[in-house]
Amino acid sequence: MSAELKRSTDQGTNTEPKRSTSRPEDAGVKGAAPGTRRLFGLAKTIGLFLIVAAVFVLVWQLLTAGYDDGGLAPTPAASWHRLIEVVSTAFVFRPPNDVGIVFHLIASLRRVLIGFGLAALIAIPFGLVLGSSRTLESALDPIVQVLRPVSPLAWLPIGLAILRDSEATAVFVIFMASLWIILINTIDGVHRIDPAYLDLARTLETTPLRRILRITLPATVPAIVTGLRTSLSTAWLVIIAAEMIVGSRGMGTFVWNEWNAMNIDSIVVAILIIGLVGFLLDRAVAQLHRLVPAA
Amino acid sequence: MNPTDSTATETKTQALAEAAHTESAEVTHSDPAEAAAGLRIERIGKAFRRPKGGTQQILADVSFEVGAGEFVAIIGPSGSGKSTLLRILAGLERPEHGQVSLAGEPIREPSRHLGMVFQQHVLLPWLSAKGNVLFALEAAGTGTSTADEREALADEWLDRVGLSPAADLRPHQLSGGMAQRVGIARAFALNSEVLLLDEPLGALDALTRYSLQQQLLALSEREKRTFVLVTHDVDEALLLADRILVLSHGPAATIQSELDVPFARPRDREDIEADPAFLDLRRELHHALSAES
Repeated sequence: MSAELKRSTDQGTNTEPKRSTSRPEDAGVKGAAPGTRRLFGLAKTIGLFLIVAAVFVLVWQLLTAGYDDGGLAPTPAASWHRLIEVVSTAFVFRPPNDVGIVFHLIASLRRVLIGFGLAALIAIPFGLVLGSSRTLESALDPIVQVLRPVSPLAWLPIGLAILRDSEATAVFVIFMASLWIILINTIDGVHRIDPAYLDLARTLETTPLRRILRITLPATVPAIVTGLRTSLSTAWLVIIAAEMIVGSRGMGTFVWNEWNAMNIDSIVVAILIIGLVGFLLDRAVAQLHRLVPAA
Repeated sequence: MNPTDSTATETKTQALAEAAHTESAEVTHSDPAEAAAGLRIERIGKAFRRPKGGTQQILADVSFEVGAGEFVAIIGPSGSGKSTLLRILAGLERPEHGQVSLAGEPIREPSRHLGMVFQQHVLLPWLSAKGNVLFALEAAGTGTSTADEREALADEWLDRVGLSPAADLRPHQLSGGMAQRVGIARAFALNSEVLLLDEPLGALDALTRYSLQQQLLALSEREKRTFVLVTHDVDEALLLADRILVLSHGPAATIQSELDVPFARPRDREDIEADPAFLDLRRELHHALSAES
């Protein structure tokens, strides 16, 4: 019986699994092997990058050269020397005044990850529930819409007033910066679930908890990851400003102290490091996409 | 014999009796003749609100019955409200008036007594083929079946639709025909009394559709359950159904005519297609469909 069934289905032409098609740039290239072609493309990209970088440094040099005699704006060369210095003293730890850049970085990352993590822990479950219930969402939407556009830094005095602690306040500011973005993206993701999945859940008499955990959550992962990426970028932007106000250590504090000491070249170095770390944070969170394979 | 021993024996006997009881209950449940149940559809009406205001009557006064173990096909022109009718039978949508009942009990919400095969297979993309069947079994059967039983049942049904080698593939790695076979395996594995098939083969190419029709025929003849199939394919309806209901052209569609399909079971496609009665019925159905549009 079952052998007969299998035979009848094997007549179908498209019972083979789909194969991925070859990339269009690999096919149809004439006159060069695909490998050579790709190498040439890579060389072009690197060449172009070097030209752009050179032009950038040249313009920078021209703009700052005149200030060399006691001016504040750092030249590329001065910034380079400072970078070497900062990196070579990165692990120096003689508080309160002599603290390496690594410890500033760790302090900032710690605040961001705690505040961001707490926001995700609260916003994701709330988003899943609010997105699944029109009534709840309509009731809470006005609050979300009014609080969302407020700069997270506006919460800083409130945080100080409530928490009376600068460390907790910085975390609180990051929390407020991350919360709304994750919440809104999660709700939006729930709204975009294929309604057929929910029909399926209903015909199976799935319990609400199982539906949320086994259908709504996995179906919403791409939207949640987008929310996490956006909010982590925002949190990284905000922490620098927050630390200029409340921090005793951190990248923001470092920038502020160097400004007060008129070491503008250190600020150029700090900008480079902040940018690189922000980029790496974003890449790390983007890996969460792998949790759920594409549809 | 000390008192502890006697208590242990007692508990064991009790457990055995309980096991026997569960076993007999399971046998009754999986017995095909017992599993099937009749559907009664009484004066169903359904209207949708138009975006610009006013309402559009989709279904008007649809009444019919489906006997226990019967295979009924509903055909009609596209846009006639066939799928809406099936969604009402499934409890996914509520009619404005009228009632659907299963074995005498009115249906107001979807239930696991009514299995559904969707037009767009509706497999969860983050689960494998087997994972999708297991998900349905878990949702419906936690507390009444063990994980091992569900696992075995999922394997068995994937084997029956010829998909054992593809059990670990994800939906995006499956062809349309394979994905729909997973959907069919999922619906059958649930052991619901009634199976509702919403144009299950409508999105497939002709060759795949042909082979899946064979497969559905074999499954439906072996599994004595109640089937309601919505399709726009006259040949498919004639091959599979005991009775065909023709829905009139919308708006306000209703049952326009009804036709018994006399071919004996088990059916053989080639025999049926060679039968002069097949051509007559087919002409009659095409006539009924075209007269309306």
